Amino acid sequence: MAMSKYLDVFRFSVRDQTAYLPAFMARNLFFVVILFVFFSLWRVVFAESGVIAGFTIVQTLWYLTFTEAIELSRSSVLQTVQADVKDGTIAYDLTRPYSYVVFSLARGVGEAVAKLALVLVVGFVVATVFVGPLPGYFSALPFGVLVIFGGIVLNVLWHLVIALLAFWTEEVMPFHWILQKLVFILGGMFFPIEFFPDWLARIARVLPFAFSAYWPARTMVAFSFDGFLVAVVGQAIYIGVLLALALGIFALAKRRVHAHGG
Amino acid sequence: MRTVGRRRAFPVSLIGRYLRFNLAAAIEYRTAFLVQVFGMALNNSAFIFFWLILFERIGSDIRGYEFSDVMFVWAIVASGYGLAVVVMGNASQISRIVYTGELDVYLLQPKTVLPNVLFSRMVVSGIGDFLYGIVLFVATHPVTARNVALFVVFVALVATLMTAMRVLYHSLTFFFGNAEAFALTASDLAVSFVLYPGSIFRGPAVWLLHSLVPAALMGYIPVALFREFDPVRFGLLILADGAIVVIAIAAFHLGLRRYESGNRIGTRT
Amino acid sequence: MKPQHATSAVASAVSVRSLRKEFRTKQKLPGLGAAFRSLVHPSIRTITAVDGVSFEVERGEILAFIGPNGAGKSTTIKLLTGILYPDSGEVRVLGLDPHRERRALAYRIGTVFGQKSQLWFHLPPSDSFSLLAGIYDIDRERAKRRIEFLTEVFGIGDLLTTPVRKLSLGQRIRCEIAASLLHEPEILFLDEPTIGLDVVVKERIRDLIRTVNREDGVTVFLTSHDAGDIEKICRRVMVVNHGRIVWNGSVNEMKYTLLNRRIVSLKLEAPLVFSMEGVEIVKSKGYAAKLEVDLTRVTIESVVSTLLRENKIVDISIAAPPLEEIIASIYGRTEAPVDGEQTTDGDE
Repeated sequence: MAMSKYLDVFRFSVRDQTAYLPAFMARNLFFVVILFVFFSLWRVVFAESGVIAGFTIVQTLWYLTFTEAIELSRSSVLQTVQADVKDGTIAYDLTRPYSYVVFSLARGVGEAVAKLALVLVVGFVVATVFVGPLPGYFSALPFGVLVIFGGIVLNVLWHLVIALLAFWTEEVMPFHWILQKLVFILGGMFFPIEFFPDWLARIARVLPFAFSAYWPARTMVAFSFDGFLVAVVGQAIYIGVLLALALGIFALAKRRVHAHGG
Repeated sequence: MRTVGRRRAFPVSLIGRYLRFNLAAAIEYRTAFLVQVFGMALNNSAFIFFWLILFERIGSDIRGYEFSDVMFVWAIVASGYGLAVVVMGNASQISRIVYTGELDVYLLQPKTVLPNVLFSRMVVSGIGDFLYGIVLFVATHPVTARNVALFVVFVALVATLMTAMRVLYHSLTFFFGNAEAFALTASDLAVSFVLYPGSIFRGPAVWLLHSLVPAALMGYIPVALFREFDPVRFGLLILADGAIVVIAIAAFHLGLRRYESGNRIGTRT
Repeated sequence: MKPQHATSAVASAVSVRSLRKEFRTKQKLPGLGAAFRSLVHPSIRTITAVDGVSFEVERGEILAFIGPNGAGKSTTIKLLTGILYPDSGEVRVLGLDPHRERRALAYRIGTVFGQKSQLWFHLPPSDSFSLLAGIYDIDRERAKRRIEFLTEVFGIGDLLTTPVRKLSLGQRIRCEIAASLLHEPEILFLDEPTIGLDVVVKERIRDLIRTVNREDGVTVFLTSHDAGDIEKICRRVMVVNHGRIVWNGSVNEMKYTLLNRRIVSLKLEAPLVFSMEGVEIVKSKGYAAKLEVDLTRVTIESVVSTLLRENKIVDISIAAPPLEEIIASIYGRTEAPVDGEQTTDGDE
């Protein structure tokens, strides 16, 4: 079956992550500290007003736990694909019997999921210590897991698209920074989109960036079935669009590689 | 006998040479150079947006910090970081330079090792940060002689301190194998702390922020001094910065004795 | 400043006494559990990379320093150039202590370490040259003349303005060697200068090394795997294995006395008829034959006279075995110490 080889790639990629112990510890340390900073900041802010835009401090901190977890468990697809393109090893991948794009997607998602699993456990403990348990955590979890996974797929696809731009430009990191900042702000990574002025919130909610941060986190901390549906449908649409984009860019690039004689 | 110029351990003119060479190498890739510089500036703007919305939403200060205070910290940290990585861009590469054995090249040259390492590489995107900080400062504060003087002094101190911190963290690679992941995270952490109002932290965290993760020295104390200058406190700040610099240099030199000059290929982490 | 040759009272370029260097490496065990355990309680293994080595190098010599991977050659060269601190023993290079007087020594030695380039990857060599001139405090006029001279000798005129990343390996090495000679060093240390090069380029590099030695009187200390490098450039060779020097003498001496074997090649009028204690017939096919003589058991004289008596010989030649074979056999003769393989200094 064609899918099974990509599933294998996914599985190996998950297992591969356990080899990077120092990086793993560093990531989780950073996560704990950044949650501490957020906790310190929002504790002061919430001291003045108990509820902001319908969110309590408990919800806000848990919300940030989820958005940060997704961000911190990003894969290294951006670096590996970019390196493949730059040093030309991608030419060899073209001769192999699989789709380079789908292969990289599977590898990236595998890596991110492995990272995420541990980060989520750490996040659960830390957020509970700081502000107490999240009401409705376990009933939202089955839905939340699905859209958090969707958010991860979306992120890997973004990185794939950006990395493939290395065919045309020497330096793709600035594109990554810009995307990252769009997710940080418009995607609602630093606070729920509800905190925005109304006009901006209305725009931000439907932009793709919200589907890799805001929608998954909101599904966990302020669950509603309607919200969940919006998240799933939106993610499906944007995943489709980005996958098509990645495949399209790759097809164009492939012609370029052949034109240049590989 | 051959004629040679004066032999100094590390002449200042060499810094100028390194800057010129790095710039020349960067300009080889003109588009990438410009994209990097502007990408960085754009990058930083996102955070300003965050603070604008937050202050707008809560409609007051955050435990004594006004929007303009946060912007002052941002300005000195952005420019200070930019200055540090443009002039001494190799600080964050020390782990890699040590574990790949690239340090050999510096040890074979007749110049003091640490400055020769630090000054020989420029992170081009730092130019964007450096300029960004200046623009931010001018946009959010009145340009008076006093303000400009303090801004310049604090930018220089932030740059020095950031470099010293990186040297210290990365020197651990001499002792514990590849400490790159740790050093990168530790450096990021200090920057993460400094970009938030110092007043939100209480308890043991405050001590940490004055020592191992010296965010207070980079941001909180400068912003307080900027609001109201106090020569004694300023003197203490200089002393504390100096102490960290001395510790960093000592750590690097102790490490050098244990340098093994391997040819290991860096692995992805 | 001291005049350049004030130290010429010191006869040797390099003098090493009982030099020792150990490395401690953390053992990496497979598995996540082991990785955690080693964080708390790392298992450390000590490896002796250089084990009490002593030798001298005269000024003006060309010396080859050879040995298998991990034998300690790179470690030794790094101890001589001030990169590594020795654990014990004494090193003097041009009368200086390499790590205590590292900077003073750096002005007087040149180094080419294959994978650790002095040249800036994205810039043309001419830029790197002028940066190096700054680092070595060579004044502008002097540097200009020196660069012109080296450009001519090394034939790198048209390479000077090409970014290093676009040069071939051979072109790059030529530029590297030129760069290392910019400050007129008295000793040149070369680590595997011809590795990965094709035959023609290898010859060219060897020529250049000989020229530098002959014209400028530069002492050359090189490590190599290539028997050709040693045969064609060097007069003296030191073989190191397991951190010890196992042979130190002239290349010719090594060829003729070290191995008590000779290869006798014959052309005959009729197939060979011959048998003798201590002589092995390596090949005998039609009218040609090859014998290997063990000189510990039989003299070459008796072998040849017996051959002449019993056969009609058209042509005869007597030679030492090829250098590569000799080197391989030296490596083979020295047993590995008990603590296992030595991999720390990672020559490759």
